[in-house]
Amino acid sequence: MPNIDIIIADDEPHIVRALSFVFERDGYAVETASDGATALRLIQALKPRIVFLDLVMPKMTGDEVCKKIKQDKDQQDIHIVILTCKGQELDRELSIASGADSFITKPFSPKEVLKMVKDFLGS
Amino acid sequence: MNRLFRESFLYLCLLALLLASLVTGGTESPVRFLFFPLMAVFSLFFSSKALHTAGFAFTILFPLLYLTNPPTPDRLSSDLAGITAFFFCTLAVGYLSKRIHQERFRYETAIATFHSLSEALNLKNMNLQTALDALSEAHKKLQEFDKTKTEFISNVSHELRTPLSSIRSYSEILLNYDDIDPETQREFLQTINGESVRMSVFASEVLDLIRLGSGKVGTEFSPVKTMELLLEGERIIRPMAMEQGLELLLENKEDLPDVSGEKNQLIQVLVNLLNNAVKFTRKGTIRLGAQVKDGFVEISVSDTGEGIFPEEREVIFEPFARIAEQGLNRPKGSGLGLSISKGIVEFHGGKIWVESELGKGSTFFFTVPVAAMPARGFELVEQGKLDPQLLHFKPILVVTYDTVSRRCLRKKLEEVGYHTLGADTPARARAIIGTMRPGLIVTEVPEDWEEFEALVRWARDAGVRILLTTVHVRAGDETALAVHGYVSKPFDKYEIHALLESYQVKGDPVMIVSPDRDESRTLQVILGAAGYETLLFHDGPQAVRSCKNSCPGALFVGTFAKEQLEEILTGVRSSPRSGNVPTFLILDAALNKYVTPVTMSPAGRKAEAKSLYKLIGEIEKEYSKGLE
Repeated sequence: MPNIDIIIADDEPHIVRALSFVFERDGYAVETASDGATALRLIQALKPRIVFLDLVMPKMTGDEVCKKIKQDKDQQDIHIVILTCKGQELDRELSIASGADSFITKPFSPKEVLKMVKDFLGS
Repeated sequence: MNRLFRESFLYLCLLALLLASLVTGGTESPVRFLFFPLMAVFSLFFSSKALHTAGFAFTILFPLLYLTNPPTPDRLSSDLAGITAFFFCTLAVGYLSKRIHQERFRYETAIATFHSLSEALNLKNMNLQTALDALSEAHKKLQEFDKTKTEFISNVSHELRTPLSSIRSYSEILLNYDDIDPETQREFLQTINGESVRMSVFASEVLDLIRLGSGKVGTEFSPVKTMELLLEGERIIRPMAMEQGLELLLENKEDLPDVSGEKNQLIQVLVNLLNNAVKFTRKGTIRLGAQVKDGFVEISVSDTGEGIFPEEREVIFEPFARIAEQGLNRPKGSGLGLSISKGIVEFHGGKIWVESELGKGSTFFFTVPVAAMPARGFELVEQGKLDPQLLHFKPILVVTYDTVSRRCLRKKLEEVGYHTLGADTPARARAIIGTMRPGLIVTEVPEDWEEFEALVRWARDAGVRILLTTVHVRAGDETALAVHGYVSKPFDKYEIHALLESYQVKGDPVMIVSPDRDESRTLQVILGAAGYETLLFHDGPQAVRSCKNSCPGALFVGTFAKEQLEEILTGVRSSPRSGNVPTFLILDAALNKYVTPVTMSPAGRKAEAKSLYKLIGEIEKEYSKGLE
């Protein structure tokens, strides 16, 4: 199994498609999930370097997944980005409380997200 | 007081005359045997109660004195002085007892007033408390509403941002990468297009919901053919259902009445429900049906989908309350469809709900009121029975609890050429006048006074007259039981005095029969203060028996239930002796000048039960007044 760099989890397929398109074009290995439970399973199995988690997802919300990952010592260095939709105080608080490393508010620019990934992983 | 002096003076003159004749005629004169009976009879003619007492006491006590010790001419002057002193003493006692009697009534009236005042105060207090509760309730509701509104806005913003972020991402990708293959380019453009359509649909749905919430829909209801609705819904959804391999069945083929509503909005509700059914059903059948139930047409859409959890069956009608994802590939909607449907249905005066069994499917129901049927009278016009000139006539609304009475009166009125409407209670009458304005309302004395007062208020505002009567029609006995008069609560003592005086009720006791102790007691105090003797009954049959025996000066009948009231009135009328007793009905409502009670003429005490024919005459008179 190839090393996975990035996992994207969102229940909106268009968002997943757009982000994976940009990352894959720059040569990153990307895996996707459409709900929280699958995302957690994939993260634990594939140990990616960056994870994008939508806050509102079926089966398990983004901040719950994030908390579970951050509790595991082996996975604490995975960089977790939360995608929030409303950009409201409550969402930010939830992201910060769950131990997320950063967050992006929808609608976002794919270019800026790519730049963020590049800065973290190095091209 | 003048009368008292005048009568005392007369009494003394008579006394002096008799004593003088005694003196001249001597003790053996036969006059002495006439003396006492004459005095007794004479005192009966005095109107004053004090003189009655004095006269009687004097007449009884003095003969004892006189007979044991007959007067002689030389003792006459001292005897005369003794008699006079005795007379004045009894007079004084009589007068005092009358005063005491009066004071007692005044005191009782004051107590009664005090009681009613304190009750009114209590009621005010309670009202105030209720108002306060209502206010805090309203405040709470407002706060909740505010919270709901904030949530709504945040939900709307969330729903807008999701497609917006897709649009932004894909347009940016297309702008930044030159070497994307045409197929991917097309895919991205299609996504942008699809998401923008989703946004605009959502925006119009939000506007619908806001408009429904503010009640500013501004649509006019008209009769809509139910079958047309069902067929239109079926036509729109059939292609979608066929595409998914679902069967769509229109179950109802029978004749359904028209519903009252706005056609496009009703189609929107039906299509929304059918659309959901198709979306959430993988295989099976969608059934569309309708039936008539209690003045509503109940339309149902049932599917063979997964079913809805019991706790979600109410929530799904709230905005943005999407069903929790049970399977992964659940279709997505805006989450507004059902709440818009709910808004539309409720705006039409109907209800919407769901019944569901997990794993077997769900059935959504909604009801729409049946369009008002044409009035009965107009059917007669179509049959050519009526003079076309009468076409502009407004109908007469007959309100009686008893069906036989109502039918009989309506039949008679329609024979004369009127359109009629019927209702069994004031509440039902108010429902009818909401859709059709009558020219006159004929109503019997009601049982539900609050509804009656509301009807009276409506009539005053609408300028429609009300004829108040006691219609009592049995087979072969077509009479309207008119009474002599009505007294409405709260009692007006001047009105009651005037009423009794117009019937020259004096001296005889006045009978009150009432199921309500407060009402009868207040009336008793008022009558007592006016010097009337009162007989009080709470039981109808007992009062009727007593009325037949004692033949009172007047009879006040309290706020009985309809059947008891009729029993009392017919009972009293059935006897030739009590049949002439002036009868007054107590009304638990204030009347106004638009209400005319049917009464018997006060000329003399002669009373006859009005025949239905005479009642029709009064109705015609009142109806023509309403036309002026």
